[in-house]
Amino acid sequence: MSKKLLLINDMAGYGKVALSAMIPVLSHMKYEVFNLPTAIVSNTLDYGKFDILDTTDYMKNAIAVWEQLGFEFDAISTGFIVSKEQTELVTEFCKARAEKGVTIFTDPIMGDEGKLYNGITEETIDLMRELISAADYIVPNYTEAAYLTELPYKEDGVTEEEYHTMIDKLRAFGAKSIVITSAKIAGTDCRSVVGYDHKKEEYFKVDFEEIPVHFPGTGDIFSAVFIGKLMSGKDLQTATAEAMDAVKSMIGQNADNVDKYKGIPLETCMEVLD
Amino acid sequence: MKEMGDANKITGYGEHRELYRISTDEILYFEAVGEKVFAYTEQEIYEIKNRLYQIEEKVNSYDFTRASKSMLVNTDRISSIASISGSRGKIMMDNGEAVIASRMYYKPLLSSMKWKKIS
Repeated sequence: MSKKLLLINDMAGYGKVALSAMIPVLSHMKYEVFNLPTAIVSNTLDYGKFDILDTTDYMKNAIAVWEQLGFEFDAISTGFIVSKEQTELVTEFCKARAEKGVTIFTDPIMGDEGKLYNGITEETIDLMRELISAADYIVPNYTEAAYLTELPYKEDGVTEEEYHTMIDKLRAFGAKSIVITSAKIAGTDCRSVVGYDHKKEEYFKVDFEEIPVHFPGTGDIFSAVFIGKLMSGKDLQTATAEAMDAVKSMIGQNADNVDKYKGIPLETCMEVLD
Repeated sequence: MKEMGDANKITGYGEHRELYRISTDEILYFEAVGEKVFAYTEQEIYEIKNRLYQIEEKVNSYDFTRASKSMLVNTDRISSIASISGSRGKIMMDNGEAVIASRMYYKPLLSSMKWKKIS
């Protein structure tokens, strides 16, 4: 029987990012996919203009109805969360479900390149720490890991041991397995993903080559493939490496696309996931 | 940590070293030029005796965000944004001036606008 995944993230009308990227990927991987949008965005941000609708009230009402109807899920994934109120709502929901054995994946979206996104405050970070305490898997980037752990962010990166320390601090908050994406290892030109597998009780590192072609949504595609591979029984390092390879293939196939702002046209390259 | 008191005004120095208290809504952007930092309003340029990161801590983080290593723009004074080659952005300020967001800061700046548009 197919596993049921609930995706909590924003929904883009035009372009494959967040829910609009994750839904087709996980559907293709044969999961039953359900969604709870945190916002509706007209198109990917790369076009420069966009409109956005905050769906907090809808979320509160939807969750209430779902509880009355008794809907159950095997896993929940969280991504872009709009506000303090939404973070509290999602955290409460995830904590309650986690207690029933639902697997929780969290992408603690708060910043990049050493900076927090505007609108993210100390309070938001505290709330995010609450959310990750209920998570089985978290996929922060180096910036987000630094802010969550209050360890310094260094533009040139830090050593693998220092990433392990960061991972240990994240685990102390309650998150079980950690994957730090875009970790730069000091003294090397390499970009890596550094993580900890709570099932195998070991750290791991996967190196990757940064491709100079940019598409919005590749992080979300990575998350979706990663979740799909994990839920099918692959171990953390394999799921990470296979998700990275899938994204790399999709980028490669679409490198000559004229309009890259709309993200990767997933419909044309699903076979990469097989 | 934000300072107590008026987060909406910042102290700047005019060309004859005279002191002004400038309202942050009037500032289009802050720019670090060499060792100095300047605040640009529609009509004037003031020298600010703080480093850019200190200014960043002082001003309302909803309103100002980095466009590049040396530029802090007032997002309320942005009239349009266009993506340009090299994964950079061309930010048009409401006085007609263009600011280029560098590769490293453009995506975070766009993401920040997502939260800003909601609040």
